[in-house]
Amino acid sequence: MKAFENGADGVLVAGCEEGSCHFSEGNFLAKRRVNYARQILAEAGFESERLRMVNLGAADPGIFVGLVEDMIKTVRELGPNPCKQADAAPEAMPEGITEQEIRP
Amino acid sequence: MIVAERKTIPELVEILNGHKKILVLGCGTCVTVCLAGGEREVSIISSALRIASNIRKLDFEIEELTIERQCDNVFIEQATEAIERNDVVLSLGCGAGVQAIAERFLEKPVYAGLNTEFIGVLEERGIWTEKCAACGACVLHQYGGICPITRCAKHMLNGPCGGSREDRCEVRPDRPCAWQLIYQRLKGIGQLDRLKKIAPPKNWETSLDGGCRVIIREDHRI
Ligand code: SF4
Ligand code: SF4
Repeated sequence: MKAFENGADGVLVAGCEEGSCHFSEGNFLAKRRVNYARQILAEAGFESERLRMVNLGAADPGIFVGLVEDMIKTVRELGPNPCKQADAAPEAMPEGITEQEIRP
Repeated sequence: MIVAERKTIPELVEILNGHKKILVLGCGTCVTVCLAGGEREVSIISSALRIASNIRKLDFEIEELTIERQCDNVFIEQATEAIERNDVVLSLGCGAGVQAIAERFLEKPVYAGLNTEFIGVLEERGIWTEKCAACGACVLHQYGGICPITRCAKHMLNGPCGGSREDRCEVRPDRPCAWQLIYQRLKGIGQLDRLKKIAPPKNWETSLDGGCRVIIREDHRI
């Protein structure tokens, strides 16, 4: 919530693969909390798609890259965080992270 | 404990619309335990209100504070400066907390951010259930410790109503029939005889029907 309040365009919460969390059910609980945060964001009139939780193994860089790319695509389609637009004169959508930067 | 739920963000925005400096005031007791109005919820609701304000250009300036108890003068005093430097208070206390704050700051609008629901218990993680309607003349001893006023949808003192299906209440099939529970409990503690007596109509004067209640303990007054 704070990240969005401060202008983040998207937040990707990454948890361990389901069933392999070191804190046993920690990632399931996290998913519920993230869903609740999405609900409150939607109530506030904010696009809840900007917040997403994904689950993947620590040794899955390929999957991770795909999930990050997908998140970037969503955020690009949505444009800048509307809180930022309201605060300042609207700027052009930043280019964001290039594919080279996120490839391992 | 007192159990409450937050109002939705659109409801809160409508209540606060037109105000600028807003204190979101949490309470560290019952509403913290039921995850409705403690420090964490103050932070989440404040964030959501700032985001809504930014999007709708409402110009809210939100300060956050949580005190130990909103229904107690000693703790309310700790919020005095914050209340005075803001235009309005959005209280995340129960109904008693909201009114306690409002009575002490006569010039300040104080709004309820929660819907106070009931006196109840945490049944299991994330589930709270109602147990007491504060009737002012407790009859639990006659019913094996299960409150027919609160837990029977028809508040029957001489139940059951005859509409239950299996062990479910006919009014709310997601809840057990209170009279089924009373019977099982009295049987379990060997007090089924209690059900042979017909309970007379209850005197509701000790409850809300007798007007707003007050308790005076002369032995504690100065
Ligand atoms: S009988 Fe009255 S005081 Fe006792 S639990 Fe029921 S509502 Fe509460
Ligand atoms: S089914 Fe049981 S709990 Fe429901 S109203 Fe009838 S007696 Fe009360």
